[in-house]
Amino acid sequence: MAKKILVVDDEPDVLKILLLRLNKTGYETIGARDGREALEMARQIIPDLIILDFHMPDMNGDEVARILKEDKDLKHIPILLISATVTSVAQRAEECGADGYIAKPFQPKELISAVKKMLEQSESVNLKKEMDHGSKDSSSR
Amino acid sequence: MIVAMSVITISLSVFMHMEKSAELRKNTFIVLNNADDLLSELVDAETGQRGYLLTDNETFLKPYLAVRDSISSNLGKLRQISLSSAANKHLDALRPLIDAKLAYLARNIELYSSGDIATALANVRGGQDKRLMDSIRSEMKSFVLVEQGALAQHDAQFQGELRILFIFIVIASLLILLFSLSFVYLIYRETDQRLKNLVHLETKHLLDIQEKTNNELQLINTALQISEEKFAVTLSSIGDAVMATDAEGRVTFLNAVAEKLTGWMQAKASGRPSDEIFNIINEETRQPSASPIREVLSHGTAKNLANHTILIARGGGECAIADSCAPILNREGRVFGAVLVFRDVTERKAVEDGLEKTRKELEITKISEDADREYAESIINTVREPLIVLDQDLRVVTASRSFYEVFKVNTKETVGQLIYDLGNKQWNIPKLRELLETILPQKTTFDNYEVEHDFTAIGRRIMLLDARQIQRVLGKERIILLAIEDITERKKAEEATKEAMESKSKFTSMVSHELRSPLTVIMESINLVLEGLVGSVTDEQKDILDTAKSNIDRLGRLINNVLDFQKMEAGKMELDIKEYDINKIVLETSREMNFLAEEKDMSFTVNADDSIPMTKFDKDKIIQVLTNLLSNAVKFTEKGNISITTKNETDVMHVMVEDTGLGIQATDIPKLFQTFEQLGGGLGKKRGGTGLGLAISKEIIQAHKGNIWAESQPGKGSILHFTLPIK
Repeated sequence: MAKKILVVDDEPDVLKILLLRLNKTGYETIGARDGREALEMARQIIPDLIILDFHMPDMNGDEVARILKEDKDLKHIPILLISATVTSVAQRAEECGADGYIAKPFQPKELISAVKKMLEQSESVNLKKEMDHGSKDSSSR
Repeated sequence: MIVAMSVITISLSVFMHMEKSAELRKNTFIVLNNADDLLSELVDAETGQRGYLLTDNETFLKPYLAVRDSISSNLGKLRQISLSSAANKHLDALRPLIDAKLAYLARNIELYSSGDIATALANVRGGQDKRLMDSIRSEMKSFVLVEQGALAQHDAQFQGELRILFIFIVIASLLILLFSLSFVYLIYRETDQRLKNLVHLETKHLLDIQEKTNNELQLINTALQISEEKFAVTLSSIGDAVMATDAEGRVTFLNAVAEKLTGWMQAKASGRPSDEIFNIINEETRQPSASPIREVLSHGTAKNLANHTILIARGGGECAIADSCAPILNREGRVFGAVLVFRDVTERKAVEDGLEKTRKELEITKISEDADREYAESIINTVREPLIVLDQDLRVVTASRSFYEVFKVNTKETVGQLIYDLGNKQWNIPKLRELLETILPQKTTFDNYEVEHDFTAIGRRIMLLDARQIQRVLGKERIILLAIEDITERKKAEEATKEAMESKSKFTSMVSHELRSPLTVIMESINLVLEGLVGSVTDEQKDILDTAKSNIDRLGRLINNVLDFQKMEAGKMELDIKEYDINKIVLETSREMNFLAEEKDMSFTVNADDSIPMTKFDKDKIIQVLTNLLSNAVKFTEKGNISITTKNETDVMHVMVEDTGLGIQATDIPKLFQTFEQLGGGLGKKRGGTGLGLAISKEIIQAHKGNIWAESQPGKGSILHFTLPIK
């Protein structure tokens, strides 16, 4: 089953090409135009990855990320932060708990490889968790 | 100690020896005694036997019976205590004789008691027993002689030992005496030395004191001499005549003026009565006047002489004098001389003439002073900066024209005023007070003292004050120069510039950020089309889209570079310094950039020096530099090879990027690292450069305290070098 990716960007053009690129690469995509919508959809569909733009009106990407990471049902979802501020993006990503970042303008290769890497990582983490859980269950029996 | 121990040990052994000798002697005596007793017992026994034979009284047999019972044991005892073998031989010889004697006695007694008295008596008379007895005696005598010999020997030994002991005691006593004497001598010497040291110290101390006293005396003498010289110089150089006398009024001293007025030389006058030398008469009566010296000497008080006195000199010359006389008192207040001071008042007129002359001279001086002042004021007025001169009471002496112009005050309300009172007390500025009253008294020069003040006439002003305190050559007066620079406008301009710079950088930053999003969208759109993800593309379309794409790439790099550079200009470059292996980074970067070279059918060759240690730098920034250098090399090279070499040069590591490209003119090399500088008539632009790459690289390397430079030969290629310090 294709992985579900939630893309959040206030700029419709950016959102459009991001969705298109991910879609063409083979992911199932959902777009959100602002933070509130993003949180709503995240809770609804529980995506495998969330791509967040940093600069958005009303609610910035890091704020959204913080809320997501505080939610026990959503905190396992990896977040990729996209920013036009080259310098401080790494620091900001770390502060808000995002799992990765990418600076604008980016090459499609960069985006896709980052997405792939993060999905693989989260999958292996989840797998490990499940295995741990399973082994615990078996041992308790 | 050792001597004492050995003395005791030896004495003890000698004593023991002696005791043994004494024991031996005693033994010998006992032996002799016992031998004697034995013999007399035998004699008694024989005598008793004879008595028995003669008287038939059995009581005479008692000694015989005693001997008969004890003789054997007595002989044994004697043999036991007698130690010499010679003596024992005699004893052994004695035993059969004694046995025979006793047997003989026993037989006679038996014969007698059995009634054969005649035989018994005949036996006695026969003399056999006498012969036996003689043999016993002779053996006994031999024994005794032997024992006596032993005794004598023991005696001699004892005597010898006594002598040895005596000699030993004498020697020991002598040794002890010697030892004691040397000990006493040592103590004596020690004490003597100590005493000598003490005496030496004391002497030295006394000498020191003496030397100190001598020095002091010398100082006092020198001081006295100086004082005397001073006194003599003073006396001879003062304009008045001075004459001194002793208590009897005899002249002791005349100074040069006194010599001149009296006509007497000091050498001649010395010792003569003062009246003879100081011969005065009343100006009007021409009668001799009483000498003031006599009066002063007798009364002990000072005296001023009436003016109308004429001194008659030795040669008969006269001059009007004024004088005064004072006694010279010793410490107890006793008069022991007088000093007379007098002057020639006929010269007063000449003095007055002199005064007039001086006055005229002073006037000339004043004129020249005025000229000086004018000169100074003209300088002050020429200076464009407001300048103000204050006296030591902080009152304005003079101010420059520009001062009046700038601060809108006039001369009348300025000169002579206290500086704080200027312009309706407008100048009462705390910071100015601090400068003039606190700082200047400690430091005579103070520059660039910033004062901000709101003046009613001219508004808020920022001034830089330079202050100088000048000590005047004459007198204790000081003057203060205060140069005032109005920097209000300059400050405003500076602030405006700063603001402009800030807003410019803010603007650039915002614009650059805003540009990124649309750029991303355009690039992605083109990419999507180019990759055929949204439908097939013809070769012609693809070519055009490629052109669009490469220009968008360039635009993106340009924006990044502008942002980087602007950050560097603002000094905001933050380095994330960690330890890395430069060779690894060079290899990785060249690998990642390889696609660029491949596009031109070239490749990167890396020559890494493995001896370079781990070095501290900002990895991303150095990658940025390497990327710049590599992309430049590719850009300007059409064919050939691009090599990257690293080298360990102990203090620094050296990285070289060498290409076989166009090369650079020597004159153009310095321009290489400047902003927006592209060489070769816009060739760089054609090749997609931003003109910022090398400038940024230079900033990065310099921020690492390294060096970056280029060497090149047109047509042959270039080498770009950079070094980073190894720490």
